[in-house]
Amino acid sequence: MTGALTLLRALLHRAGTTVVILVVALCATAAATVGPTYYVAARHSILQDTLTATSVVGRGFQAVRQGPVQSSIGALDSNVTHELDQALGGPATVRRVFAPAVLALEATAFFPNLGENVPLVWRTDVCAHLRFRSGRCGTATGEVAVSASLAALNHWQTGQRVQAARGGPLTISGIYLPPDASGDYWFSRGGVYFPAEIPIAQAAPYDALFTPHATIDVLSGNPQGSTVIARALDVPRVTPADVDALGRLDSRLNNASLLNGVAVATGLSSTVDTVHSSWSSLSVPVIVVTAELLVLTWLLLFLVVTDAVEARGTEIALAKLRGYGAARAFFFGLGEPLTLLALALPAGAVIGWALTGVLSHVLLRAGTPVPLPGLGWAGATAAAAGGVAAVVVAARTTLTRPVVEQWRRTGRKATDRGWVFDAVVLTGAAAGLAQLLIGGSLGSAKHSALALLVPGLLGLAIAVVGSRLLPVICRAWFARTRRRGGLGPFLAVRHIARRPGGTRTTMILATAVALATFSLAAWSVASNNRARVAEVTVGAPTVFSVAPDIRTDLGAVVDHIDPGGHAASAVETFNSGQSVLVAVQPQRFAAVAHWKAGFVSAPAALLGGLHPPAPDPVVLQGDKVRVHLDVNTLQPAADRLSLDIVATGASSPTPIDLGVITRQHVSITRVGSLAGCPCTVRDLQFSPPASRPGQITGDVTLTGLEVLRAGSWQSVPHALDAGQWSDTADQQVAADGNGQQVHWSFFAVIGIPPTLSIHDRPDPLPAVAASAIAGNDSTLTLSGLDGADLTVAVTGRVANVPAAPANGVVVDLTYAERAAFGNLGPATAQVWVRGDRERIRRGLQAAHIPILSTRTSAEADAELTRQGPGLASVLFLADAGAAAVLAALAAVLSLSAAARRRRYEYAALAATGASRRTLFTALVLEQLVVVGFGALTGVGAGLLAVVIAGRSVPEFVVAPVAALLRYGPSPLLMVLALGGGFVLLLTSAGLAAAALLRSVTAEQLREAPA
Amino acid sequence: MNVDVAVRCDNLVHVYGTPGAEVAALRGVDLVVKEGETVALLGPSGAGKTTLLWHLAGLLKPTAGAVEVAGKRLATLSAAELAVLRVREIGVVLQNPGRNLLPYDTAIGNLLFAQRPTRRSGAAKRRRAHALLDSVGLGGAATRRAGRLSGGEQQRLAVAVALANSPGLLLADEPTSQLDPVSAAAVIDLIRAANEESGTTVVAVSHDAAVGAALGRTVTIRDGRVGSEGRSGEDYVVVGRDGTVQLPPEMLDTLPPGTLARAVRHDHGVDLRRIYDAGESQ
Repeated sequence: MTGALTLLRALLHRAGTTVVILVVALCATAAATVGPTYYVAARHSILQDTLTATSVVGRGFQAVRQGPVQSSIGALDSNVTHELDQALGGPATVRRVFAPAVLALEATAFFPNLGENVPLVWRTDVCAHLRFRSGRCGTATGEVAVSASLAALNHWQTGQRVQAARGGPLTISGIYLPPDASGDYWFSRGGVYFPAEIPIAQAAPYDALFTPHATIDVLSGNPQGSTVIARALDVPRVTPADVDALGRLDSRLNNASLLNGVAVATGLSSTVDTVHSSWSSLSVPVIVVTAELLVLTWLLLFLVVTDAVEARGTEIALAKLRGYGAARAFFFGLGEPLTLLALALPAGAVIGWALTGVLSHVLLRAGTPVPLPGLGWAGATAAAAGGVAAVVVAARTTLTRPVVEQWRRTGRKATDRGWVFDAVVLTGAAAGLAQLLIGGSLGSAKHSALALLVPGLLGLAIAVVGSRLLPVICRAWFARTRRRGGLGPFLAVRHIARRPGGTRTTMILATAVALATFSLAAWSVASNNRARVAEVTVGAPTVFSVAPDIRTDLGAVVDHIDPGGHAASAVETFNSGQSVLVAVQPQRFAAVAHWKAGFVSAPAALLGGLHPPAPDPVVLQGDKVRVHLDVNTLQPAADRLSLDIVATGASSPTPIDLGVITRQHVSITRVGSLAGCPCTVRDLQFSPPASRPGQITGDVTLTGLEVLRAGSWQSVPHALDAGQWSDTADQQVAADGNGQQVHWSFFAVIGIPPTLSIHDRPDPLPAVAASAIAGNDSTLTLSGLDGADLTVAVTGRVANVPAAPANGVVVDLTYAERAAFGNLGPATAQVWVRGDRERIRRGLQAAHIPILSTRTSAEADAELTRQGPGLASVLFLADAGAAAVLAALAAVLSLSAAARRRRYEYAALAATGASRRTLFTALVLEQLVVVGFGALTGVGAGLLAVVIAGRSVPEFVVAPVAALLRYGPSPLLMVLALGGGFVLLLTSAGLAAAALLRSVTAEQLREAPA
Repeated sequence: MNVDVAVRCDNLVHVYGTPGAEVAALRGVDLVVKEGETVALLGPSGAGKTTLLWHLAGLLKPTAGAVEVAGKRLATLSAAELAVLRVREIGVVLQNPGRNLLPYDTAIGNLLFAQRPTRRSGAAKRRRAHALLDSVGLGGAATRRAGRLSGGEQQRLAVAVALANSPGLLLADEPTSQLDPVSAAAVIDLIRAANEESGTTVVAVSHDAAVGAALGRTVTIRDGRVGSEGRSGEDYVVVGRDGTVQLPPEMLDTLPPGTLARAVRHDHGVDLRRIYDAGESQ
């Protein structure tokens, strides 16, 4: 008890040292706790984010057995459940991680009188997922719910009985509105159940009839169909501990003998791979950053304790004189730092936990639990244990120093073996750097979290050299300060040159500042790159994916919604895998898209050439078309004339047969029927008789093109304008129009019929392409909006195309639509928005354009930030903050050590007449040189580390296009942060010097010099 | 082994420094202090007094010769045995009052700190501490911090701390050097009282004539040797192991350094007679 009181009094007596040791120890234990705790929380957040972001297939499975559907569901359910239990370790886990199974029986009902084969489906709890326009869900055998579109198509009403081929009449119990089939419940079977709303190839365009299980059971002949079991993960209840078992589920279900003949669709293993990849990209930075901070805090602790124990040398000698044995003297001498470390262990762990909580609240997915895990306690304990080791090593000299040596002050110098420590540190740092270089971790093409070791190692190596250089430099200043400069500079330089403690502080300070500089730079680079990748990947601040009716001109709608032209752009894209055609409204697109992020400075000028003048398309709207033609020559005779047109929304041209032309030197008029128009004229073509294929030569004049509308023939406007027709085939042809007629002469080789094409767009289309795909080519052939080949002329090259940075090709939307002859089915329609997206959304809704999904670059940035590398980069910022705190502590230590040592000396100088201004100058200069040199060395080392290792720090789970990435930190941020730090250091030096000077009194002379 | 001998030095030699830069502080000291004796070690600065005292406290290893305290040859003891010896047998008062104490601890705390290595109960330690504080006149200052006591009070407390474990040997290094006469007298009284009441053997290094006068025997160290002793007010030269004799300084007028002298044996001693140029002695 008395010992504890003595200890407490000692701690209070040395309050300054106590606080510094405690803060450093707290930093160590807190830093060691933050890393593991953050990692555990981040794993949970990453898992939840990944599972949520992926499609339902990626977080569930669907087992489908084809065959007779009656009595099939029970066996399949049992077998699947058995395999799940085996894979996940029991039914309790299965119940926890998976939502209840959704079972379905999918048969068909054929309506002979209508000729329709309509899906007839029972699905678990389907009634809860349908909204009814009228009536209700079917509950009795033979009752069915039909979709609104099917009801409209067949003029069905609620309550009506309809006759299907099997199982007798069905009663329509209600008419449902097709639901949003993107929910987990439907498990991507929206295309099967609602093909009228979600068109897919080969699907009959009839929405499903939903009926009770009993209806399927009474169908005659046990019809063929699909038995389906779908289970999706209950995401919030999935924990990181479940991940490995889930990753194996894919293989188990697909290889289980019980499930022979069952097709299991799941992306779970792929999702788990993504999760693991994200985790591992976080784990190494956590370890490295934590280790660096720990080593730094241990070094600092070593210095603090060395100083503190040295100051207690006489007390330790007194204890030995009083008969304290080695162990008792050890605990007496180290009682204070050991007590503080013991306090710091739980306190630091709790502080670290609290900090992690704050960090997690800001960065991680909302609701992510942040426990203080065993790993966190282990980290804190390891930090404290390392601290104890540092304390023991630091105090060893003082504890083992003989009493007489302590009194006589003729003991071994503290720096006698200092070079050994420096050499060990320098060798270790150099070896570490060499290993990283040789091991390839710093290759520009490789990303390795081990690169994070570079700033610490480099900082330490440079700091060791720097700390040795500083006294040498100061010694070189001796003569100069002796000759001139006054007493202040002389004292300052002399003290630094003779002070080993100062150089140690310089070393710690430089290392801490190097870490802080690199971490800040790494965070800046990573966050800028993430934002840039997010912006360029999404393309614009907001991108609405829309589903306009095929007759709707999306560009016109956007023009109407945003007359200013700077807030929205209609965009159609087609991704062929090799290239992405981005068809845009050029000037709008220039204003709306994220061009700056892609390093394009003047997009308006760049895109200005995408829409050169071109004739309008020739559009036919009527019941028939009539063609007037003067046939001057035509060899051989009996060629067939056809007019190719494309109906709106059609995927291919429709030839209108205009008959065979058997004579020359005649004027003829031919009539063809039109259907599904308005239609766009594509070309006029002669085809040789099938029995006599061969070359065709001819000379004809197109003198008129008319349509029959409302019973009268009307000329098609601009049909014979100059430049309206051309022949793009490689043939000896000439086409010449003057508004009245088009003269066409041709020589067509075998196999290539003479074709007079409508010219309603530049051909090839002018395009701005990503440099990576354009290379040095002047033209490119890629896929148009209709999926067919399209040739473009490259008029501009950019580093990155918005939304398709490496393989994007931007063309004019109008011309791209004409090139696709209006067949936009394969393309994706979007509206890109900058600014008030709600206004645009309202406008689109008012125009009855459904918005399928919304994507923002801010969301994309947030998602990247919540992936492993993103979360790790925030650790860099925390690392920078912690390193800055440690640097500040090192500076404080330097100041306090100087204060303790200088007080007696300066009191003596003051007593002998030295002015206080001189002493102030000496103190400030000393602090400025020590702290400033350390800080500058650290900044230099940190920036050098950025150059060496900046590119190797992992920033993304999936590496983006290299052209998007830049590795220069934000200059403004760096200048502000580092400049602020310097100002703070200068202020601290001034304040510390002033405070020290105030404590310099003649009374100090009564005390023994420290 | 003579149990009534508290301290014995046999031809004690101590050399400071490293090879090539040695300084011999003690050059063959022979000294015997019996139990209960009070001895003042006198001599000029640099004579080796403090070095001799540190040897007696077991803080230095002899370069040659031997030191015995309480019948134990110190050079043969391990560090742990030395620590035990210090707890049981040796109390030390240092020159600087502040150096004897933990300045942040209370007066009683310092006494308890000194007793911590003993096996006494906590209550016994407290009783002993209070008794000692009373005996040195600091009964009312038990809870005051040592650093806030005056110099005289601190040195009295230091004596109390040195006596805390009832040592057989009290070693004091310049115990009065930084004190005013009144405080110095009080400290001397305490040391004498410890000797008279507990039979504690006292060896004190001092320049203070009052200390020499107050203690029963004076031993003057000169040039690392015992030059003379004083007992009951009378001074004696001490014949060294090699036959050397250090004359009292006042006799150097008669026999200046470098003088040739003839040693003439008598029944009870030897006369030194100066030899002049003709080879005659007078």
